[in-house]
Amino acid sequence: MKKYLLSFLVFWIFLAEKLNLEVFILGFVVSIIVFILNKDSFSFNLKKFDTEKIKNMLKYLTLLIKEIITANFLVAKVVLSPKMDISPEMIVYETKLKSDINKAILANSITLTPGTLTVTLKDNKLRVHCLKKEYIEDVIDSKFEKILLKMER
Amino acid sequence: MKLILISLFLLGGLFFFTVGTIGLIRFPDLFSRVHAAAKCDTLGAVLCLIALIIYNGLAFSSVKLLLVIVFIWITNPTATHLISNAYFSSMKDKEVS
Amino acid sequence: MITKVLIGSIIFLSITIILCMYRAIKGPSQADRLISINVIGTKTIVIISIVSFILRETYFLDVVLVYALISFIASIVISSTIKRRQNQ
Repeated sequence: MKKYLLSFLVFWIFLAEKLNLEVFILGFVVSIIVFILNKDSFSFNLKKFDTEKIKNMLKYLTLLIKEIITANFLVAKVVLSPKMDISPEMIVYETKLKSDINKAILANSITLTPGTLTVTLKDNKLRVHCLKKEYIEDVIDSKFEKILLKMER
Repeated sequence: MKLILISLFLLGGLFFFTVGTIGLIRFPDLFSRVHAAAKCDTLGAVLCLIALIIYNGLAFSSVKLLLVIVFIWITNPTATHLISNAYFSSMKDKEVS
Repeated sequence: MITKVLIGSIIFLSITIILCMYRAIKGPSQADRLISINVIGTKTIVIISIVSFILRETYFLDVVLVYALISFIASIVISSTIKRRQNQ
């Protein structure tokens, strides 16, 4: 509880762009009100973070940035070529992930990787739309899912 | 030096925005258009805002811009996923009836 | 000098917004219009933040944050409306 209040207070100070007594008191009151209103949303606890998890997160972030840049150049190449050679296709892909938040992260990452787009997400079935046939392999053995599986344990 | 760096980032962002717009106009069906819109928009906006952060230097407003970047990074794929999901369910209904 | 670069990029972004309007007006389905409105929203976020640095008024950045929130919620609400109307 204290950690949440402190993080809300820091967020408030960044929004206010200055630091004095008025801002501090008002921010304290507002963060208590926000915490009481959203009590049910904070089910996961922050204590589980350790060095291993943070290392995995950094690895995930660097991989994501690299994939986004390649994806953008690929889309640029397809768009700017005079005749578009696209063959759209849809596949259904099953994940082994359990928690909802990790599934949402995986779906968003698939949307940002080259040539693929998540259309529906139901139970543990992802329906993925591909711009070309070759990109399907990239989804089936995705590196993102391996890192997320490691983080889940 | 700073000017060159800012112009480079800004030009990159504008290039990806242009590519996204051309893709939005040229692609034949909705899912391909979503491809162009989701990816190019995210990277274009992030590059432009990074250029502004370099211009501003270290200040409170840079942190706000960083907040906007994180927000765009999370919400843009989610919004496009929801739109394509809505289109997919409407497409399925038409095929059944 | 740097102000000129920023003003030029604003003009360029405005031109791409007008091109996006073509898809928003013509788009065959409602989802096409919604996707182009989403793109226009992202471009507007970038334009407002550039304007705040040209005028040197940092309070525009609060406007940017609120605009990002509102455009995200609008996309969600309109897409769920499209889905519900199709199911009826």
